[in-house]
Amino acid sequence: MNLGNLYKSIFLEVSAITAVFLSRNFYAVFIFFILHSLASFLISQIIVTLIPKRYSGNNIQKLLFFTFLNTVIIFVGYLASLYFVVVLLRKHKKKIKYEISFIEPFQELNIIPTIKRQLGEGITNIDFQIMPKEIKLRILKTFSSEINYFAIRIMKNLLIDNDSEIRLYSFETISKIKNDISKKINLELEKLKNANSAIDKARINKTLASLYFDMLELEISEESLKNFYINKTFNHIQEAEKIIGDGEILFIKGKIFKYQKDYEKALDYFEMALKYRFDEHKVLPLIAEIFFEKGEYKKIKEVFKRDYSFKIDYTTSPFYEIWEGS
Amino acid sequence: LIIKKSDNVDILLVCEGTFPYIKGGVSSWIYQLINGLNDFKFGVVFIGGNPKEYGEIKYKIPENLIHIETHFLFDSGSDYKKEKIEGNKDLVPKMRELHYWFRKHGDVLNDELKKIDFYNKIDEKQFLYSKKSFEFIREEYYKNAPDVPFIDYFWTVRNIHSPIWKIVNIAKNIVNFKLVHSPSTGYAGFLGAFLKENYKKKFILTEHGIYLMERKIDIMLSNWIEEYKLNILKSSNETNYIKELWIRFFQGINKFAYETADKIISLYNGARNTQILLGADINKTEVIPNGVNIEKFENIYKKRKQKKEFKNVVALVGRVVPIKDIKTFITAIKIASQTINDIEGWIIGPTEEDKEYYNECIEYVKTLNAEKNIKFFGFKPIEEVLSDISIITLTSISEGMPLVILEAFAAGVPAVCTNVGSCSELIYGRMKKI
Repeated sequence: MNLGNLYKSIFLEVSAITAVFLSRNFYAVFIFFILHSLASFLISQIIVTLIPKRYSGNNIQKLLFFTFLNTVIIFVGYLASLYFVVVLLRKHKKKIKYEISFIEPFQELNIIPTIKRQLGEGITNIDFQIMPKEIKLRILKTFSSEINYFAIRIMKNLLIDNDSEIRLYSFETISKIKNDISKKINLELEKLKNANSAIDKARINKTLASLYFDMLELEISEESLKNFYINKTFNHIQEAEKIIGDGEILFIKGKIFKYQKDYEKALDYFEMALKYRFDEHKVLPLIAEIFFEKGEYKKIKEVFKRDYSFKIDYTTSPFYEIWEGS
Repeated sequence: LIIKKSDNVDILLVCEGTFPYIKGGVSSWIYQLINGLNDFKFGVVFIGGNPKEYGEIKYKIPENLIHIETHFLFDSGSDYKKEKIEGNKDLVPKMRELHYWFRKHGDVLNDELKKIDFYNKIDEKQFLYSKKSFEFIREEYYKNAPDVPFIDYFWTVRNIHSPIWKIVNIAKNIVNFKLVHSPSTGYAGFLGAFLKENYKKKFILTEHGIYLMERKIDIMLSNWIEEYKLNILKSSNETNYIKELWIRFFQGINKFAYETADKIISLYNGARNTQILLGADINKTEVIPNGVNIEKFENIYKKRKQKKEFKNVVALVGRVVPIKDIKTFITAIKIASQTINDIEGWIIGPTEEDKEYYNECIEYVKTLNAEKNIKFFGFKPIEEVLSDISIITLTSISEGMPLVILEAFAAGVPAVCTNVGSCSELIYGRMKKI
């Protein structure tokens, strides 16, 4: 605290009051305000230094604010400024009383289960012929509840395993997934039969298109039936399109073209889906994939920049980091 | 339920979920065995799961089948009056012994546990309703499966143990017999082994498929055993305790059947090797392939030879059950229909055994728009089918030595099969492999 300023301001205030008392006229009041303003300015300099550090910012603004306050509210302004800076700005800093009880560290540790790692990253490049049966079973157990093409691809590899238990397990797991989709398709077909309104029919057709495409996307369709599933998807999407037009329809169309490696058309449909405000988070990774397939790597970075959530989503952030080189 | 009763049986067959209530491979084999061995008097002990799953007897009972009794292991409720029982003080150590044997798969069954006397001392009523038994289950639960809901653990332990008393009861009241023959391991094999141990009679075990392996797959993929932990939260060697308990139980009774049997028969070499791997004594094992009466198919063979053209009909003769993988057949016909427009896939076999699976197949046909090409006929005698079809197929995921293929060959019908069981041996002979 600059005590010199304090003394100066006291001196100026005393001089100002004296001037008013000695000659009670307009000039004395004028001199009072000049001296009082100077005193306020000097006191405000001290007050600004008392503001807690976490309210750092433009000091000139703070100084002008307090000078104005102290000048306008004569004498009481000093007390108000001090109360504001010393009490109010520090109020939340009051210490919270904690009740700390003693914890037995080892006792607590016992109830936290130790979870060993299931599978390493190397799973993607494994030679299943040399892998012990126990690990294959573990893979199947892990993936039997996963429905994604990666899990299915691994299970497909195990379909040709020499061990019949492994073969059967993987076969049954794939069959189960296929069966679930087939069940859903039949349910929708049944709904389609009973639907009365055109809009209901369109919505059901859209769901059917999506379900038939799942057979392809999850790679559970037989090679020879791929065209059948593509045609079914297209037929249902065309039926839906007669009545409704939305981002999801365009997205499904984009996925079909991407599947057929017609990347330009796929990109067009994906961009249109985005214009229809279809979920960016679903569309952009597929656009990025297309650029990857085309070898246009710089564009992948641009795609990532279009959606901030890529950076923070735990499923996409590793890709983001790789492409950003961070 | 006892349908025919006689106390003078030569060969007692223990049939689990097959003859005389189900039509199909193993049931036909049993039927042919009884008919083919006219000099012997047969008895059949049928063991089923739930009575609702089985209808009427599906076969004309042969003259030499003089005794049939039917038991259901998972029949609803028990005959006991429900009451509070404190429990025999000897119960807990004995129960622990029995329970631990189930849990430690591959262990040899203690001699005491093989005897009917043991189960007289610790009866089912004590196990189901006594306080001591409940406390034991609770203690084991906290020790082994605290992350599984108690109600699931409790009913699993009860469902695993309770058929044992039912089997012991069957054994206690069994008719006189000279030899017991079980065409599978599992509960039937357990009863066969138990009868041998208690009545000192010969026990023959024949396996058409590998029961243990099929049960393991069923259990691992079952929906009725809930997973309470995400896979990602499980340690590397952690499995669902309930599933593990069932698998160990079947491993245990499988081992008991192998150890006790005087002869372990399989239909082909591959199955024999698997039996040996699962603990069967190599010296007890033997391969006896299936056979068919060729004369029965002679007329069909001649008829087919004279016929110049056949319809594009591919038939699958078998029960509509998951192990026959009817869906692969449907897929194959759909694929073929893309080039052979008028192809027809006939599925000839009973559809009642697994109605849910049958419905799934119907749904799958609709999914593939294959209604024009696929036809379900239900059960039909194979002789009525063989003269009209071009090819016979089997898409099974597990087989022994399928009789339908042998019968089709006898009638001159070519076959296309999945490479399971002895199918490749049947089609290519033993010297060549697919």
